[in-house]
Amino acid sequence: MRDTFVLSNRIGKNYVVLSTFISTSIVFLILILLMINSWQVISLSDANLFSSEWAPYKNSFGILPMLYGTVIVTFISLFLAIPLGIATSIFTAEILPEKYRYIVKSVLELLAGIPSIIYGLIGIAFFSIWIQDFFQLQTGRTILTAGILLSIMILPTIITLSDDALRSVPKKYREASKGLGLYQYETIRFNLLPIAKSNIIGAVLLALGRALGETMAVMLVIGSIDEIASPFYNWLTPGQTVTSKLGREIAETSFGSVHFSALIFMGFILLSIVLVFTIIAQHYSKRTERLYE
Amino acid sequence: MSRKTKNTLFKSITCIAVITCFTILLFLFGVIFWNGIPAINLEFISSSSSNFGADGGILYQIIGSVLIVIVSALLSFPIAIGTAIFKSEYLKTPKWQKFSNILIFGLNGIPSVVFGIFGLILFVNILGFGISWFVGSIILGIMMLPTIILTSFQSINSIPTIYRESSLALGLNKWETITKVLLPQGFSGAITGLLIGLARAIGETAPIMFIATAFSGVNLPQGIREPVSTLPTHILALAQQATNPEALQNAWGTSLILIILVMLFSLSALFIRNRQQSLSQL
Amino acid sequence: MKNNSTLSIIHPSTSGIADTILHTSKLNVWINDSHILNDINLSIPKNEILCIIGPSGSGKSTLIRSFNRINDDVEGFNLQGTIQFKDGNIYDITQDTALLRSKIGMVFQKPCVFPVSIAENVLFGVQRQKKLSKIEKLNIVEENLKSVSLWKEVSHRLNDSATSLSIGQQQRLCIARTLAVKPEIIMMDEPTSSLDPVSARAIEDTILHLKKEYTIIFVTHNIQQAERVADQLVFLCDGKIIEQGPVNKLFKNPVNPQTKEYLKNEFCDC
Repeated sequence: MRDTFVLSNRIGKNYVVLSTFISTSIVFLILILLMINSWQVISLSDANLFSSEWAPYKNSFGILPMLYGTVIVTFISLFLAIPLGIATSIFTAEILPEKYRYIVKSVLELLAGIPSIIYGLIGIAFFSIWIQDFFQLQTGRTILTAGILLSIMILPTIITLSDDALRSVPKKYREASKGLGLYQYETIRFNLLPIAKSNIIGAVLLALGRALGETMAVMLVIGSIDEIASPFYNWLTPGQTVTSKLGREIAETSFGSVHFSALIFMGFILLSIVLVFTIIAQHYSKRTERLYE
Repeated sequence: MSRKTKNTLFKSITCIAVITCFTILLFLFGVIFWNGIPAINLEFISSSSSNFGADGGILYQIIGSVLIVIVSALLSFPIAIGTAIFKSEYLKTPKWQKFSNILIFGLNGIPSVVFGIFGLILFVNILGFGISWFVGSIILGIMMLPTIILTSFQSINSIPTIYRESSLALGLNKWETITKVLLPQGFSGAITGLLIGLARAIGETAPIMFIATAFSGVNLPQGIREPVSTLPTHILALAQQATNPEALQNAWGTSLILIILVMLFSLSALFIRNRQQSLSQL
Repeated sequence: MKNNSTLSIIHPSTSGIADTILHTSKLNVWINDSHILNDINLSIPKNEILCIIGPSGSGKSTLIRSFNRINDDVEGFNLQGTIQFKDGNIYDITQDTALLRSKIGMVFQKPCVFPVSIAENVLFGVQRQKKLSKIEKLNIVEENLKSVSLWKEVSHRLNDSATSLSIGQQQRLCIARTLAVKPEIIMMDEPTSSLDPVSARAIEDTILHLKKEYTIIFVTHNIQQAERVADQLVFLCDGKIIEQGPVNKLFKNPVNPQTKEYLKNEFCDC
């Protein structure tokens, strides 16, 4: 009896330690692999990595157009989704009657579950056509189209997490504030939002991370042209993000080539940025632990 | 502007925001159903694709998706539960909890295409598996880990200490306490996480599109080192032929089937979570 | 024998016949299906301290919360009857609730200071009403903190977070915050039940001082406190008014035997 007592404990412990080791070391493994494979292009002195010319045949691997595309597309998506998302979350958290909450929350979760490839399909079939017609362009596959599509994709995240953030403010604050004669708008703006602020920032950072990493939808509607827009604010032209570049080219590129290494290098930069934002987001949203928004 | 007017204006703005979101939602689902339903018939679901997907059905895509996702769940679930147990029962200080959270959320935030590249480098090339559906399952399993870990963790961790203490007082050791007392109670939370992970995994394209799938000429994989066709990659290939109306229609049909599968998993997860909540309120 | 609860007797206070500032008529309140308040008819005189006492669950909090309509957001809240405040019915459709609450202020049982500085807490409500210059702000902070005897303790650290204060100080801060809005009626829902006896006494003193400028309605289940502080007393049990009148009369010569029983032994079998 004593032996099995100790033995099953030990087996169990080994199992959980091994599992945890596997789960937690994968991030490092990925980072290391990417770093190793980037080395080739980094060590190539005339690879022109930080230029804006991506021309593999010339051995020029300027990654700036892709970084530019990622930054702008992310910016557009946040610019649209943050106000819309927070305003909606204020409604669902403060104004919506209790009895409807369950349905609304469930619907938002379903919305968050739409696969990105389907967003891409909708983007091709509708958004790019609308943008093309509305702005009278050659093609509707532009940076703007990608930004708009992406904003819809990150909207459920912002709404759900901001809603959680507001609901986690205890009821007594609302009562105390109203008891002083403040209108609901004033209670929300001067009392609740400041208290929920750090959790909302966490939500935005999480959405930012998702926007940075989104591949399929962006890949299909951004037009895949490796150029920085000119002038730089003309977002009605096709462009390229890090993720769309990777998605399009990695399969075609031979493993171990400089071209491949350059692509990996971009992936490594993107991963590092996303990890940094994820860690910062963790710091901000200490209480809410929603993962499956 | 008076305070009262500001208040009314503010409320109107939030109302408009909600209506906008609602409209977007209706549009998305509406479009998928409206375009997808005409494309679907029994033949579509039960026959194989031909002519690069513009004709024929998606039988093998459905099978491929389900296969790759079920296997990934089988691979992922034990590891995720083990990690959740460790995090809940063996990690004591807040510092360790915070550290493990960073790692788990970090894993969750990794872009899906990076997972694909990881699979490409490590499994397809270095380990020499080649294009293999099993590698796809491994990668999807890795992607599912954070979701399952966190829901299982929340589920197990929220069991009151008195259960553990009673069990130990009865002479069970720590591991038996975990397997006989905690896991049965926390299991529904773990299953919820699993279903949510499945819902996400079945829709993923980027991680598997260059390591596990091939577009044409693939029906059922004959072995482990073979590619498979899946629903999301099929949609991708069809979407790139968007000028061909037949291909486009099939894309919508495939999307609808995919959405239905995703919804099935999501709704099951919601259902189980509900049942668990109402049970715990008894 | 049940007291005739439709009787609303106002006895002249020692300073002359008091005006009525708030008046309820046939007030009934349900929350979901519970009939919390049953046919309440109450006249509240101006510039006096009215104390509502009664056992737990008798509806005291619900009653005063109905006065400033903070019950409006409670699910299942339903009210019938009228509550007259000055010239209008509080539950009139056109009533601006925010405006109402700036006239009928409320201090809650558990002090709820906002996570901002002490000075900002005091100014929180009044700042919304009008634009204040820096000097006006300082004056308001000083004046109201003095009214609650808190000025000496915190004047040197007005910018510290209010959460660094003790519970007793926080409650006084909440009162100061309510005073700054300059309401006509101040309602307090068991203001000292979360506090130690010393802080409680400080607040009772504050309440006695405030009577000159404000009408005070406060709820307590501490009978000795009621005796110390109140001018008028209302005894509420199971949602009905058992008896009301000047505090001396109720303690010495109560009409209703239940009142006598409660004031003596804190027991009511209603």
